[in-house]
Amino acid sequence: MKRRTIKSILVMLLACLMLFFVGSCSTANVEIGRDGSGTATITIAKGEGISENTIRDEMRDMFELVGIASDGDEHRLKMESLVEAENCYIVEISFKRIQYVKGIGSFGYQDASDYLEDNNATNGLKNWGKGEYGTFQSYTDTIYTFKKNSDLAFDPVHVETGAKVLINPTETQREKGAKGFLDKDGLLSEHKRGKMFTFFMADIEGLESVTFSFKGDVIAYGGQNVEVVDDSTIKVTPTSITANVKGLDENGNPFIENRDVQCFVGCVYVALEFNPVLLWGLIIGGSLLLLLLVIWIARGGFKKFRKSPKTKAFFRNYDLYIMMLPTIILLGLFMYAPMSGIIMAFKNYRIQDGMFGSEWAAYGGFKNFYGLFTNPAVDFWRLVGNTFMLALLRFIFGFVCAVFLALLFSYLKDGRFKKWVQTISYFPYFISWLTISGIAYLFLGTDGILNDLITMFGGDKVSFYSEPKYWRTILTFTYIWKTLGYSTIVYLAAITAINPALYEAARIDGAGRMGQLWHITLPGLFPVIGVQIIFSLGNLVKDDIDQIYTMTQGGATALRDTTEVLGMVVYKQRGNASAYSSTTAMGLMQGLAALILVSISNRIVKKLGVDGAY
Amino acid sequence: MVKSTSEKAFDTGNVIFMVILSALFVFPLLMIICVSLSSAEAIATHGYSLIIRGFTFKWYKHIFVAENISIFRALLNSVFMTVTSTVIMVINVSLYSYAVTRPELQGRKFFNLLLVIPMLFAGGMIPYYLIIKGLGLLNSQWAIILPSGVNAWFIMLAKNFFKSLPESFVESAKLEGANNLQVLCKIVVPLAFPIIATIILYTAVAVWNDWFQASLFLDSAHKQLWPVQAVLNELNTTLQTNQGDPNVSAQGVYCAAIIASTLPIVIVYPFLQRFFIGGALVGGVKE
Repeated sequence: MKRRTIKSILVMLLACLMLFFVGSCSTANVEIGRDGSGTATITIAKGEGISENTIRDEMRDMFELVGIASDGDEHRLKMESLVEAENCYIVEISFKRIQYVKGIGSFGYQDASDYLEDNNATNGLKNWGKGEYGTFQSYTDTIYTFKKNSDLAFDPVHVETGAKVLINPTETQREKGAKGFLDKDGLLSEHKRGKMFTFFMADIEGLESVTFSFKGDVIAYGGQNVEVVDDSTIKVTPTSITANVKGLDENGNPFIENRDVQCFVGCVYVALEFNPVLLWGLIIGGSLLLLLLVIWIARGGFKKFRKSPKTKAFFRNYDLYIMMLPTIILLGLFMYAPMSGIIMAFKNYRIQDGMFGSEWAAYGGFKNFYGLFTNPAVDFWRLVGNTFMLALLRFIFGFVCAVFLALLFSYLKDGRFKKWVQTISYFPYFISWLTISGIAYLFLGTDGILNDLITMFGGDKVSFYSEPKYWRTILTFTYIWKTLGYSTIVYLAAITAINPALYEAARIDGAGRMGQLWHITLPGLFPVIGVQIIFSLGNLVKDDIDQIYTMTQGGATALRDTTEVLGMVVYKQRGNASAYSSTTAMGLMQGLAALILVSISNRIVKKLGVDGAY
Repeated sequence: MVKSTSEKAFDTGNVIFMVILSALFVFPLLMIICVSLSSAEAIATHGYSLIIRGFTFKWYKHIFVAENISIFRALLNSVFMTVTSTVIMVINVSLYSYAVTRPELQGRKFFNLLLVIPMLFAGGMIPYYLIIKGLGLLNSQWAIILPSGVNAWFIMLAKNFFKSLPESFVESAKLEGANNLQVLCKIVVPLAFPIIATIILYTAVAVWNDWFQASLFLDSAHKQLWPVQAVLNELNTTLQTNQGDPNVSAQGVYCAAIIASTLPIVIVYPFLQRFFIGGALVGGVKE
């Protein structure tokens, strides 16, 4: 509701801003670049109340509001220049990615193949594939427009209308014999590289015509009153469309009426030409490289290279490099390639634009990080707190229990009993978390064993699965249950490695078991304990969602206060492309924190004189 | 050596503690077995216990027969995925570790660094997902098999072991005219069998127990590709949200599925036990 109110006010303001178009004759000249960004040159005829200052002020306010409507990006539109000519003003506006501009119309600009994929199933675009252009859809859209001839001036209304848009190949294309996407002449690839631009602007009073020019040839176009000016330009004049208009009347009562509005509607299909910058870059770069190669060979570099012992060694042992190839390929695909995805953390990721094509985020790319800290819906510090707290509990208790149990093991007589106990205690390490989750449910469920015990002793049932306060304990306990036996191995080995002569000497000196423990066993364990602690330092910022997700009924919201960790949020948002940027930012921060901790611990380990891990 | 009374008391106490501890580890597993064999009425009226009431094989029959579960297929999938990724892992690890320890290799530092970087830093879940998607591996078992077939840690482990082998073995074999591949297969791998067995064990257990990657890459429209843990995950949701068929005991079915999925591990565990101790001692292998 609140959002709606804001939007209504916004539109009302926008409506007022459109005022200067009314009564004056104006045209717009829009140039659209490769990624949808470009410039619009608007010519406004001079008239009463129109001056440089009013235009400037109103433009500025309008941009701000369009910015708010377009995902809060204030720089979506920007005024470049304002020039006064003999009988008109010429305003130049630059815009960033027209497909995301909202508030003055609805625009689409996307890869034709994506567009077809999106619309083929629903909108009867099948004709395209069969080699004909045809009716592509009944163009319906909801758009804000402005009620005219009212004392209250421009009330917010919105228009729902449909416009059948027939798509035709341009004359030049027709001469070339272009028919459609699956042409025999191999036009398919050329076409698929194309962009589909759709536009729908309603009820902008006084705007006489709009021309759109593109970076490439117009292959096909459709719409109402759309005509081709030249190979890469089209001109649109408004058409009258009966629309279902909803809004508020003078007294503030809602109304719905059918009336005619002036619309610009249509679509253009453009085959983008090869990027000249890229082309020239490749040509220049390629020839430079070639030149260097020629100079190098001319100066005898190649001969030297061929005869150098390193090269010879390389070719003699080529089989070694082939042996490494499979691993290198897999590492490259599954470890190194995902690292490039970190770029998403600095962008506003949109599926249509892809990982690299998406726009850079605001604040120099750091908007997603800023958002983590400031957006109350994310509650970043609670996530960090939970992650850290669970890791810390695991770390401390896991470690203390393991050392304790290893000591107890060491006092057992060697023999079958010891072996059995050890074998049993190691086993849970090999059970999956899902199994353990099932076991835990048998204990903790409302009819579970713990509740049976509680009721047996006259207590009230506890519903563990809706009480977050128990879950730190539960998660820590189950973690220890799983890994306890396994983690004793290291300490047990260290205890066995202590020289038995030391114990002998201590016994002769009259030391009892406690004395031996304090003076021989524990000091002998310290280096191992130290190294283990330092090695697991990096785990302090890691979360085990394998455990947490399965045990908490798939990250139940009832338990989020203590169990929701960073990785859980990322995992749950895996299907939500609009959150990819912020979740990647979250993952990146976690990864960096782990990297720092591991580097520190590795330093310490090396200083201590033990072999570092790396 | 004479023990004092307090020492004797301690030893007895220690043995008792160990028995209790073992019970703590064994009890839940026994309970799972009992629940999987009890009838729905017995579970509903008597709760979970170590006594089997209303003995039945119904739940086992259910998981193998019910068409929405098909645990048999899932077990086959798990076996396939585990075996394939383990084989790939062993091939990769032995080839790379051997090559990177040869003194005649040029740029050894670079190839070592190639291993260290992925250990320190990863792209994160979402980029990883997008890469898998971009490779066209979504809803394919290879999305899990291929990445599970390479692990920088294991290569490091094997590398350190290979380095400790006497160079003269390799030298003499080469003098006899053996090429690198022959040396690796006939001399190095047999000598390094303990460490390779450790790697096999850890890889196999990791792939067998994985539900996470399966949940990322195999959606519910491709249930026929699911490994057993993914089926378990679905049954876990049914169990904990009480959505299932009222005539079927979700507990009984889940416990039966747990037994079916854990049994292979139980069977191979005694034979492989001695290898993972070696792995744990190298310290590198965690989780």
